[in-house]
Amino acid sequence: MAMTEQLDVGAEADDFAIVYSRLHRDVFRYCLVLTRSVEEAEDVASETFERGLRAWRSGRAAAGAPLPWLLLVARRIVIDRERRQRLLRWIPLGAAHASHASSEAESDRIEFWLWFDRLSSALTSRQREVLLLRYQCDLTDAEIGRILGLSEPGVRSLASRAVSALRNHPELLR
Amino acid sequence: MTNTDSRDPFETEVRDAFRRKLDTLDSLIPAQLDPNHETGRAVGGLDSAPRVRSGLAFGSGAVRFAAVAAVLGLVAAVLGPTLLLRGNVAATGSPAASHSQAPALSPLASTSAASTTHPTTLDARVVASFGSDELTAAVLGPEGAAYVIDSTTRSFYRVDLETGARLPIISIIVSGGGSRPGKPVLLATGGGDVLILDDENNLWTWQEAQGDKTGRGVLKKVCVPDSATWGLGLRGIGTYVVNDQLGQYNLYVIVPAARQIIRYQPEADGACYPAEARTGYLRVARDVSTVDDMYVDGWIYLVDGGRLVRYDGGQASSVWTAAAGYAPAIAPYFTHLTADEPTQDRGNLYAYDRANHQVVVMRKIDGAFVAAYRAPAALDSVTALFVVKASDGSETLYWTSGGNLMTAPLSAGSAAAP
Repeated sequence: MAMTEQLDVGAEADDFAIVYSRLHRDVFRYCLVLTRSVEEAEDVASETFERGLRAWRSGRAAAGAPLPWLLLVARRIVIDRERRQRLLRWIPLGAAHASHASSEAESDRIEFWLWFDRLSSALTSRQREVLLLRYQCDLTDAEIGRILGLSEPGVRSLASRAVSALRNHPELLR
Repeated sequence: MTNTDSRDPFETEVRDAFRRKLDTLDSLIPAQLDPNHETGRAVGGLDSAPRVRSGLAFGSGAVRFAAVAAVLGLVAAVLGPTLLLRGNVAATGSPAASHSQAPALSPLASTSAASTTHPTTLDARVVASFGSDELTAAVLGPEGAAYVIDSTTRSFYRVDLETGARLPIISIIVSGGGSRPGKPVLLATGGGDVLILDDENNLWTWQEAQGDKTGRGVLKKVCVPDSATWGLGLRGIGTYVVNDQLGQYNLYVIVPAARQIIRYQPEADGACYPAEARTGYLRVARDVSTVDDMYVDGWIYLVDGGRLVRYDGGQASSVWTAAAGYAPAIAPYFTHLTADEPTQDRGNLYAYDRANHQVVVMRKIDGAFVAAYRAPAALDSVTALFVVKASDGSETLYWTSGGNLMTAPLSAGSAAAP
């Protein structure tokens, strides 16, 4: 669940631990969808919270709800890493990490990535991001706009087009 | 009002679908990142942390968080932020250290990406022309000749790559109970054999006569007692050598009717592939009717629905995805695949991108882009391809297109394996 209440910028690390506790799942999921790799998502999420903690302690954290700010940090880290890597590669589907899990869970994860691939062919990366931030993280259009560098009408337009595109792909909603 | 207050039923459906799908990812959240995980490791610095990021092994309390934060600060200050990049850090002992990980940064990969936007134009020529015939499959035989299937004449040919001389194989010598092969549909190589699957699901091997360079040999039916159960529309066959000295290999058959890649192990004497030795390779049965090609080298690589997917232990573990560095006009759609080295994780994969009429080369080990090749007209409708690697490291690409077996040398510098 998203955390939308205000937290003091100058709070102690203990407060940031609360932020972490409440928001790690949303940040990790966002990283996972951006990177399509559990390993990279772990790294990016860790770096996000590490940067967040540094900013938090030094009073440089953005005012307002922490989730959009953390997601913006995560997004920038992912972009930076992609720029540095600049190569084509094997993108883990995530199933290899489930050897200890039940076959049902394995199947779920494989199904998720296959679904995500189909989704990727129906929506652009920005449209996917908007829907994720909107429906998974419960962010407002203004918050999404800050993360993606878009205006509110731009966000609404992206979301509207994404939803319209999905009307042609009802199988993706099952 | 938040965006979740939408009154559009369809939008609500979209939101619910997203949440439902993403909920399945929760099990991927690492324990050390889960503050509700009660059995997390104590934080003890780099020695106890397999990777730098595991310094964020948050517990449920603020005290532990503060300790972790202190460690993090120290690590980051001493080692610098680049160590947070996965792959530059010492290997982890967790399953996450498998080959399915995304690659580490490497100078070679970085430099090779520079050539991605300008595919190299191949100097293509015809090795052998079959007139208006349609060649549907081609493999490189163990003795260095090519073998192709001509679907219009239901023929199977041996082609000398040096002279271009072609020799029809199917009718030369037939043993194995006097039965004769049907229409050849799929090819593979394994051990010292060329394998031919016919349209009656019979598998045949072609073995070149020892020392013969004229195309003489023996066509022999392979004993696979339950091959009739495979049904129609097989998508591919492959082999994996399990005993190099005896020339024995496992057999892989992509069977849409069974939603499986069926794997057979040979009997001890290699004479038969009994039904008792049959297993389904895929852990979870799935639709394989969209698979266009398969390559087996320990991993299984499938070209499936235009994507290049690597399978590890029966599970799809990685997909090769275009990113920065390869910017074709149209999203890649791969249909055929080959490699220049049969050894797992060594050498390069060569995948034909039908959408852009290019052959894309990537390293097996990490998928790093190596080169892209185009040949106007000649690469417009590739139906099979293989690569011949010479002892000096130079490589030559062969492919079938229409009724021609084509070839072109690959520039050694751009396509060489690391």
